[in-house]
Amino acid sequence: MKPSRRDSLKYLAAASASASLIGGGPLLAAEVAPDLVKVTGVDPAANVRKAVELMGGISRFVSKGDKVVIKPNMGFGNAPEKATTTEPRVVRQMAELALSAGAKRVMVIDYPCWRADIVLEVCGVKQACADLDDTFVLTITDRDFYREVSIPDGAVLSSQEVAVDVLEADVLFNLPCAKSHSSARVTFGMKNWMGAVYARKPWHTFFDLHKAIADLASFIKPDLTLLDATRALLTGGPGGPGKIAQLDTVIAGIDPVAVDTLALGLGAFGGGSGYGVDDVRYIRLAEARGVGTTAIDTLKLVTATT
Amino acid sequence: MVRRTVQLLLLALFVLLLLRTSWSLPELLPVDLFLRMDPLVSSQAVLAGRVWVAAAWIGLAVLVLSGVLGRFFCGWVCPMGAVLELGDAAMYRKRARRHRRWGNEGRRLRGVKYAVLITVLLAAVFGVGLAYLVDPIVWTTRLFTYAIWPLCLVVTDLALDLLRPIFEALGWMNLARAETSDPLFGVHGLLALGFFATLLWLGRWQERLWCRSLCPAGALMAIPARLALFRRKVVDEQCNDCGKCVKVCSAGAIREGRVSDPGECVRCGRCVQECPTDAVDFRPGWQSDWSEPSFDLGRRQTVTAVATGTLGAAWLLHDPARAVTPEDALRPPGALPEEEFLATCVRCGQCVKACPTACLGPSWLETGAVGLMTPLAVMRRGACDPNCLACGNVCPTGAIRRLDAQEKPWAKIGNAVLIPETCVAWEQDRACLVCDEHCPFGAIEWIDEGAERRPVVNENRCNGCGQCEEACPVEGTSAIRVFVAGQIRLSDGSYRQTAREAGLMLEDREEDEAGAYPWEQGGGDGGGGEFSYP
Repeated sequence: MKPSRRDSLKYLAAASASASLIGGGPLLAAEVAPDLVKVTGVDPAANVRKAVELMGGISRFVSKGDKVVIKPNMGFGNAPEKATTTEPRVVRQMAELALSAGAKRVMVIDYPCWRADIVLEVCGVKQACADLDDTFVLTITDRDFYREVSIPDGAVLSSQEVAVDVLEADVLFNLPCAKSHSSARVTFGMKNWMGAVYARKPWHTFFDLHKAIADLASFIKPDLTLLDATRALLTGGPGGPGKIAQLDTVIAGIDPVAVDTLALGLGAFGGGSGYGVDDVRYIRLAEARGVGTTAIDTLKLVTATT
Repeated sequence: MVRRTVQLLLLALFVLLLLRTSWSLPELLPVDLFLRMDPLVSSQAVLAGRVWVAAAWIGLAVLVLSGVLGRFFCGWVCPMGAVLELGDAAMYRKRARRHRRWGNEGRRLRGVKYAVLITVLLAAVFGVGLAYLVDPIVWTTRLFTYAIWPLCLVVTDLALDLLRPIFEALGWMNLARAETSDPLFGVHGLLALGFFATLLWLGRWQERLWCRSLCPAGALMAIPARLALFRRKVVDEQCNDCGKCVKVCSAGAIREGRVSDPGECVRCGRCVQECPTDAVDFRPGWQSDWSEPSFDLGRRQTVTAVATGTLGAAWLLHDPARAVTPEDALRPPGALPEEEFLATCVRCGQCVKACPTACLGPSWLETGAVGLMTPLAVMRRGACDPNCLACGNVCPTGAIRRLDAQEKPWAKIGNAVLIPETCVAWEQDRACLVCDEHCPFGAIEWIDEGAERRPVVNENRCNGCGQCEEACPVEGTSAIRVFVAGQIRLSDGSYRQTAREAGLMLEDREEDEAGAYPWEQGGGDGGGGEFSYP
């Protein structure tokens, strides 16, 4: 997690954009990456490849020798078909892309809700990545692997114990899945970072959950959020069982608030007519904290099919 | 030395099988192999539980084999025998002990093991299992589960901590992030350690004093062994009456060189090895060279054993502590109905070792003295994982039934009960439905009453797995707890069928019949409950 890298990329994009304004020609203009991409197709891996390509290609994010950390949702010991965890093929493809760009190693980590080693065996991510070199799919539940960091200007969180691998990553990819969530309403990108902190219980008993999610989102800034909506768990989330929609979609973007906002439109999360951006308090709170924008109409969205 | 090698290899196998006693089981050998081989374990379970235990034929086979080979199990297979022999060899020099040898004067002492056997089998006839107090394989299993295994975890964790910088430098992130389960020592580990320490201390006076004089499993095998087809023979013309075999015999089974008791002999073969004139051999034969047994059960011991077995059983069965079942005395999924469970369970601790979440632990006196050391599920410590079938798979006596993935969700452990007074959603209007997040069965629904959603339990969907109780973020006692009410305990037959007939809906929701879900009846996700807490 090095914001400087991402910022410099932004400047680069901005610079090329201005270059095109000055008269750099259509070629340069086409290189301006979109803010959001939405790719649909039956092969989840192809969707990931297309989404990353549209976002500017993997080399925009990963340089040779980088230590890459991927944070999927590996919270529950359910088969991928139950839509409670990130589709394994999506994770595998992301790891492969990172390796192809010269990543030194890829760590795929989460702190599951259920018994960690069983979740790891059942959710399928470990098996999907088994034959990739320098790729480690791990659950991290020991306090030794967390480090207390202060959250600047946190509304409720002043400090948190965050996974050291997340703190020390050169490149951080957030690969959540799309689920309804009983207490948070939905869980997409920003809520997924709760799986990178050690002490989650106070988030419910001591802090306001939504404010805490927004606080953490202001601190952990992924280089890219790629939301797996191969299936979406529309109700019964986050643990299931519930109503599953086969969407065969991935959404990607750098702005976590924008990704979450766009994801709300994927289906009727929570049943009924679904949720709007005002129904999910933490999205508005994160926007107010400057994490990103919910005004996705003003952003450049590219949709594609594979 | 062939025997010592076999003995050590089998001890290693015993430890290896216990190590592999986990939620992902190896296919090749049953991890409870040694417990199954112990005829005392299976005969007690069959007598006390009044059921035929599937694994009992292995114990029976060992008994039959003892009629051919004598007490080979004691000398070659028994892990406790191996531990005691190793301990003896390490702690006591033979010479120091020799003059203290009790020899044949200990006939009364040798009779004690039969008295213990009578006590155990009589209590079993009256429906109470007592073998767990005296069975060698059960004690060795418990020693490993409750003392040695947690010690291994502590050492492993320490080693991982120390080596982590090296692993990180080498990029071996699997090892750098390796974690061990939490070691759980307890009073039961201390009991097992104390038991073994006592037996090793008894070795001061006699080699394998436990095996000679106290072990009821050895006594049980000694009965057919007395008629053993293969028995010790001394060639009269070659024997020079040097008496060496009497001294080296690990069981003290030889009297005056030529005469030995096949019921006491553990087939260690030392007499054959050490005989200077090669006069000793084991051969098939029928006639006994032992005119009177080397043990003396005695009237007083017999009366005591009968009284202990019968009165002990009566005492335990009519313990006033059993009049009221504690509401949180949860049994593992698939545990037989309580009476049968208590009679059948041999308290070996295999289920505790296998349980990946530390949900199962040995009881103390929660269910009365008759329930001592039986497994209890403590959800706050660790919930029952919906993917795990381990406890039933490793139970050597079927006290916990072997469930498959189809039956497990229906083998209901109890009902979750919400305690609104401590629930932060009910009492403090906080955004918390962690119980619902973790529930694998969709048993938590909510009502929109205050500022935030408030959880309620749908008992028809609750499996009692306790994920809610473990995860509840309230400090101290959980605000949602699993109680025994609603548990399904069956001697045989399908849990699925029984539970369905009772109107339970425990399978995944999408596999249930249409119209059964809240969202199909209009309203939002899981909401719409009529019920509200006062």
